[in-house]
Amino acid sequence: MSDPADFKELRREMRLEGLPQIPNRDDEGKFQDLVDYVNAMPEKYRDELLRDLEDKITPSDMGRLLRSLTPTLQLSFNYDNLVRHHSPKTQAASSRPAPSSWATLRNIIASLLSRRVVRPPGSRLRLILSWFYSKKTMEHVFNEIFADLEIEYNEALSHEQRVKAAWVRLRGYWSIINAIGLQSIVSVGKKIFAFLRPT
Amino acid sequence: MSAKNLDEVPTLSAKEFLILKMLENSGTAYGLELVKESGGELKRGTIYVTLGRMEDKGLVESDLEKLGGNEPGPARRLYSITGQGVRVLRVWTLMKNAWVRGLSVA
Repeated sequence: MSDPADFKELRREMRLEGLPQIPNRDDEGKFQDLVDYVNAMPEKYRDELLRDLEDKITPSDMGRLLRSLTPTLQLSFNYDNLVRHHSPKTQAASSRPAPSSWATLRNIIASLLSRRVVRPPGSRLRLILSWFYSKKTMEHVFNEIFADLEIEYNEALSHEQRVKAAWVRLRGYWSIINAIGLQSIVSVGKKIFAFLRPT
Repeated sequence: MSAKNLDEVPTLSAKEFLILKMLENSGTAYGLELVKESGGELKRGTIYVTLGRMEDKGLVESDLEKLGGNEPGPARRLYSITGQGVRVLRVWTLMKNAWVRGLSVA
């Protein structure tokens, strides 16, 4: 399989042999064969095959297949081809037929979101603050606010209350700003008191 | 306690007084619990700065909670009132009551 023409030939042969077989919903063995087949094939041919498969299997099976692929393959296909290809803005310009359903795209987006590396809210801000404040202040003031934020945020997400989670996050950042203001006043006050205090 | 001179009555702000009262009633509490129980008098952004100042003054103490291996989320500090905090709270309660009743404190 040195070039696409060879590959097309090979695929024609494979179709004659029944590969890749389009699996039935109940046929887990065949589905896994398909997954293994797509995972093992050379990258430059994979997208083309996936596009062809999309016309042949149901959107939910396509989503399932993409979720079953190795992450790098899946990401490559999603970003470079499918998402761009299925975007409403580029659909008209695309030479390929429109997808039969948006469910495929929704599945892909859901799978991408589910695999995102999730950091606790405010982790970058915590890192920045740790450059400016002492270890004690971080432990007793800011880490506590971040801990409350994380707990409330996770609680909201666990109940699938995304709006509340966003609000909790916003409120947490506002609390940090307040704490920075008050902590600055307290620090300056302590220094003035220490300076004016008779020895 | 920073005020080493026992002739001096330790100062206590309204928020510190409220926190001491709540901690005396509950025994131990997280900062967020104090905020929720205060009904809006204590704010999330300022409670920990206030608690930190109170720790410096020896009125409260805190311990980082010990989480089990399976418990999710970050560890938080549990605050409790110290003996010094109880004494200061009682003095200030007496003073406050005397002030409200219009009596002079002897």
